[in-house]
Formats: sequence, structure tokens, C-alpha cells
Amino acid sequence: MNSTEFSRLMQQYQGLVYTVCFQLVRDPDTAQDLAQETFLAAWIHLERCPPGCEKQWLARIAANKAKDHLKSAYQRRVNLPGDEGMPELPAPGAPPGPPGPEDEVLSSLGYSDLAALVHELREPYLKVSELFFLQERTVEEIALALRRPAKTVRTQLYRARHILQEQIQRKEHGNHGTL
Amino acid sequence: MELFDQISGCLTDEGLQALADGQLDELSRLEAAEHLAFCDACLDRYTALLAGPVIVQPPQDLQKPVWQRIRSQMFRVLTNRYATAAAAVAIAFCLWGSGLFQGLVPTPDAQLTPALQLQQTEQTQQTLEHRLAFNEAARSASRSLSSLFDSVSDGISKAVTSPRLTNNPKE
Repeated sequence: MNSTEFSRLMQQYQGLVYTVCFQLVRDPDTAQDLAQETFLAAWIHLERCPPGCEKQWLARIAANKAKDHLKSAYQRRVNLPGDEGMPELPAPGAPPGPPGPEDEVLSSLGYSDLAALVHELREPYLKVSELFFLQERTVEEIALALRRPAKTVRTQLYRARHILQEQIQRKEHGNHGTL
Repeated sequence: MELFDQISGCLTDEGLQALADGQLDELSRLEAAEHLAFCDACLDRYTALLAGPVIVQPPQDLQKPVWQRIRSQMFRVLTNRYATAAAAVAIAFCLWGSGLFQGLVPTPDAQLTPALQLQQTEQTQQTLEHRLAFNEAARSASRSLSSLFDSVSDGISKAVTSPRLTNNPKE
């Protein structure tokens, strides 16, 4: 694809790309910037575009750009580890690293209590948590089984762990309140 | 409203519609973006929703800023390559100037003594002529590089020692 054809592609799909970015980030300036980044990435990786699938391909790049933006904004606000710089989750059975407070809380639960909490989770955290916390599968095995990227599985597991910890704390406070 | 189907793990129709209508909070939009980034089926369903009046045009046309960014990206890549090549040449000059390569190009005396020439057959003689030509070319290149290195070194020393040129006439 030459520069004229790429200009035509941009003309045709700039509305779509901007709409995807805007619907995901809900800010016009950020969406404008992410739409530009989408076309820049598309130009750099033009040879990866499946012929006839330009619309889906551009929408996927736009969703990825929006995801990266939302993830960094969310991590800054919530202060929850994300993909980058995030410590690797230990594989079940592997020697664990120094336990954090969340690990202590989770490991103090019996299997049935933990299973009950996990089954209360909603998607996209339910299946990854069942496989990781209850069936002790590795991140790579879960990624393969659920057809999700390993990075996404790790991120979902970290958020799931955070949600589980909040549930435990809520229940503990509830118990103390009733005493 | 369920954003994800608990069985398939995919985005629900109402979830996709809520995304298009701007009814999702930030975490839900992040979860939807993560899913759309890898799930082909949901991406197809989502892009099918994006047609007609749903499409919002960007406040400013993207063509001009995108081409500007592409050009500056290409310029950065090119300048990085030239900077690498220039650094390699500078290192080669430094190594040459330090005399590291002196032993690599043999002198004619060491290669072609008269006694050695007498012992050569015609074929060997031809080979020797080739080697002689190669040595001569190598020495010539060596001399050229040495003189180039000297002139560059002189130029740099003059530039360093000469008064600095500025636009300020008072200096």
C-alpha cells in the first residue's frame, strides 16, 4: 500500500477509529490523540493488515491504544500493579516469593471458603480465578485454555486478587459488626 | 446489566450497546477494551454496530497530523541510522590513529624477497603478482586513511583551539 492508498484508507476510516477511541476513553482530546497513534501504528505495521479486513484491523489497533491509555490511567489512580513492572505471579507449586498482605489473607482461607469467594466473581475474572486459585493452573496454561493473551490473564488475576481481598475484608468487617 | 457473558466470557449484546451509548464506567470500559483487543468474534460484533449515525467524525481531520507524525518518525529512524554509521566511522578513525591496524598490512620486503621470487613457478608468479597488487592497494588505502585521519585530527584540533565563532559581535 503506497502513501496515496494509505491516505484514502485514513479518509475512509478516521471516523470509525475516532469513534472506537472516543467510546472507550470518553474524552475528545484523548480520543483524537489515540486515533492519530492508531494510524501511525497502522502505517508502521501495514504489512500485517489482512487484505479486506482493514476495518477490523484498525478497530483492533484503536482498542489496543485505548486499552493502554485506560490501563495506565486506572493503575495511576488505583495504584494496582499492571503488566509493566508487575512482579510475575508464581506458578502453583513453585517456591513463592515473599508473601504480601494479600497473599497472607488468601492463603489463610480454606479451600471451600476460597472457592465460595471465587464463584462470586464476575467475568472476566471468574474463569481465570477458578483455574488459577482453585485448579492451580499456570498463567500460560490458563491463557491457552481460555484463548486470552498471557499478559491479559496476569492483569485479570491481579485485579481478581484485589477484588477477593476486598470481599474478605468486607466479610471480616461484617462479622466484627455483628459481634 | 451484565457486560460479560458468564458462560462464554464474551461481551454481551447489551454490554456492547452500553459501550456505544457511553453508559459504562471506566473499569468496565477498560475490561471491554482488553477483551476487544484479542477477541475476533466480539470485535466483529462491535464494528458491525459502528455504522451510519453512530460514527463520530474527529474534531480535526487526522490526515495532516498523522502524516506529520509519520514524517517525524521516519526522520528519527534515518537520523538514528546515520548517527550509528557516523559513530562507527569515528571509532574506526580512532582505532586507525592508535596504530592498531599497522601490523595487518605487510611491507613489500617481508613479502617478496628476491630469493623467494626465484623459487616461484609461473603459476606462483601470477599469484604473487596478485598478492603484490593487493598489498599495493591495501598500502594505498592505508596511506589515504592515515592522511584523512591526520587531516580530520588537524581540523578538530584547529576547531578546538581557534576562537569560538558566535553571532554576538561583542564577543
